[in-house]
Amino acid sequence: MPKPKSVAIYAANGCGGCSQSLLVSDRLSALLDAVHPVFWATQPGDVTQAEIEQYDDREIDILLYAGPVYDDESIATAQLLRRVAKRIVAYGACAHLGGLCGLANLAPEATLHLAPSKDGRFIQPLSAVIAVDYILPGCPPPPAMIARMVDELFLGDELPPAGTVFAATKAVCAECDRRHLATPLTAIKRFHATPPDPEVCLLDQGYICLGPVTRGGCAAVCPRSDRPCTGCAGPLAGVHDQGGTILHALASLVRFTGPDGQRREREVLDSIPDIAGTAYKYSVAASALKRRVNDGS
Amino acid sequence: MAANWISPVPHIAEIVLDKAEKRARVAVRPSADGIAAYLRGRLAEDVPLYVQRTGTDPVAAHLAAVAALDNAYSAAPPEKARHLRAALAACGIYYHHLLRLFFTRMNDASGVSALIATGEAIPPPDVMTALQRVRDEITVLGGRGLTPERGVPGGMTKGLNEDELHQARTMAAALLEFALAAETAFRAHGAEWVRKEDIDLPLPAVAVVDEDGKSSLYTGEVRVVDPRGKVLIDGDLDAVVKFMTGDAPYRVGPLARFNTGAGMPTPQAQKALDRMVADLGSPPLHRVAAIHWLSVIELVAAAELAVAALDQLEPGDSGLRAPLSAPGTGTAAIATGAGVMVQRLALAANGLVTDSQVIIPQLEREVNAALQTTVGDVDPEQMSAETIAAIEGVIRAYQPAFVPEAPFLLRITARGENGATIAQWRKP
Repeated sequence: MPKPKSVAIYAANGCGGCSQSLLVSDRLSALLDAVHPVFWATQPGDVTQAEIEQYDDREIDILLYAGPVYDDESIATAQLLRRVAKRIVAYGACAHLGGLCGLANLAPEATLHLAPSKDGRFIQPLSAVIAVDYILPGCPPPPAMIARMVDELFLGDELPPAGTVFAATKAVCAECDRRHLATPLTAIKRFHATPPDPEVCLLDQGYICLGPVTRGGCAAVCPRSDRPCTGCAGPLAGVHDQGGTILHALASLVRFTGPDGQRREREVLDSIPDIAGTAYKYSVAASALKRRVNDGS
Repeated sequence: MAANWISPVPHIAEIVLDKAEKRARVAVRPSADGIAAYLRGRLAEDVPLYVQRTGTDPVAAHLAAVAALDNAYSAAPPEKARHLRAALAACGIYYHHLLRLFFTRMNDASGVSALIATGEAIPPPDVMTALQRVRDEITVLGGRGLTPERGVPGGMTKGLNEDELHQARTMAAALLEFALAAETAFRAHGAEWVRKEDIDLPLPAVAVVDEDGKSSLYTGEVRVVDPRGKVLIDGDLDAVVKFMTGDAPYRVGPLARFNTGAGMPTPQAQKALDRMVADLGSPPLHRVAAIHWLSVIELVAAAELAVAALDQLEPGDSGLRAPLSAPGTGTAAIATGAGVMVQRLALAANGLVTDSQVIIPQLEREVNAALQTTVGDVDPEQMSAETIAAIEGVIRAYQPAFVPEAPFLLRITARGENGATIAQWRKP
């Protein structure tokens, strides 16, 4: 009988949702029955750097890392974990892309965590500081993606190829039942103010839905709740800048003809509120924007 | 290889001994000070999504933000939307208490059963089933399991179809059945521990009460009472915010609700409470370990509230959103599993956030008061086994658990006058 894989779970200073997503997973029993758990740390203090240093190089077969990297100490911890783990999974949107915390990079005094921010601190995805072998996207990862990760990574005979993203290769739109009309976009709507038609593509109706530029695998859970996809599973393969891609798409979708067409197109595009929070909700830290470097004064 | 620790749910992580202060304390989480800068310029309708990722109870955070937005847009949600939200809120409390009562830290854990401490009173697979069931219930009601997303200012984005409502009612009934079994089992396996624990800490209490003055697990008026039960603040939210952001320690959570409200809001939970009162006495009660017993009773109340709220819904309910007025400022407070959460949102005319305040329930203040009262002055250079045991006793009393033997990691760090670590103790 093969030796069970050793597994560690490390949650940096995130919201705890990733850890809970694994805890409530239908695959948790199968996972824990199949592996040798080394540690499951839900907050940084649960396992110290000194304790991590006691592990041999590559002693842990697979490490799930959740939460963002945000200061020198978290970078050092990530580097230590890289040394002691053979394979590392960036678990959830914060480790994958910087996540919602990344929006704090645009306001240096801001933090989504309940921890004091420090001068010069900024959020980074895990892959910015260490090599990452696999990605489990989502905020938090949805049950189906977790199940796929457990099945392929822990219960299968062979490890999946390095670089595997445990999500669909197609966009969220492929899993969405709404009717796509391919109509030009003539106004930007907000779902809280104007309830959408439940049958029609949200983007067609003027709601900024990131479904076309976001990996599927979530069963289009947000559009099914009558709200636009916010992009938590990150960009499609080969796309570097998820936010830039949706903005580019919007620019193409807004079409007016006639002598004042250009003016009207500009008016619609200028009416997009909170562009960063809409197009880059989870991906500022992984995008070309990354962070604010000066206050513009 | 280092010691193996499995800690799937955050607990009190570390006790710090400060040489200069000569006292033991746990770190108090700042009350989301940076959130105002974070939310500035963000879309109002996205606030319920952002705040549920602040590391506190995500269902309650979502609903508190939605309630603040109701007020900011002067929108009163339709009755059916209120019932749907109430069912969601009850499931959020249930989920919160289930995690904290049953899932513990384990050494060298292997298999799900090793993550769950029930003292053999309840089969661990039943706990996992209940946990997954409440996740599924939140998914049906709120669209997503851990982070519901259907709350909008003035209502909910979507109601339930016939299948979903049937599924939700079936699951709520099963959750109630589990909660009642847990309450019975607790009296057999955990009550004796509560009777023996002798940490008694009189503190003011902050909690939400319903229109009948009973403990609320969702909306109502926030009430503050002194340690003898005298009402200090009743519904004045500005005064509550001032009190909660002041320096004085106060109590939130199940024991604060017991000391503030006139009983449980549901019949079976009230019966369970009567049994506890017969054993431990009437409010005001300051026996810290009663938190555990009350958490189990609130598990029953939450399930009953979910059942009752779902009974008020019809399949295919529509018209779940009220029209919105021009945006302004809105404040709301709701009960969470851990205590009371207050959110204040100021919106510009275009519906972007201009200012905000999020006050989260902080157990740590009470823990520090208990450490100071029970352990007293501590000199890190004069640590004794008795002092470590006294600290462990306080922390154990505050670690929510179904059974007293639930293990937890005790990490004590002594810091010198410059803040550097001078010694560490870890148990076991």
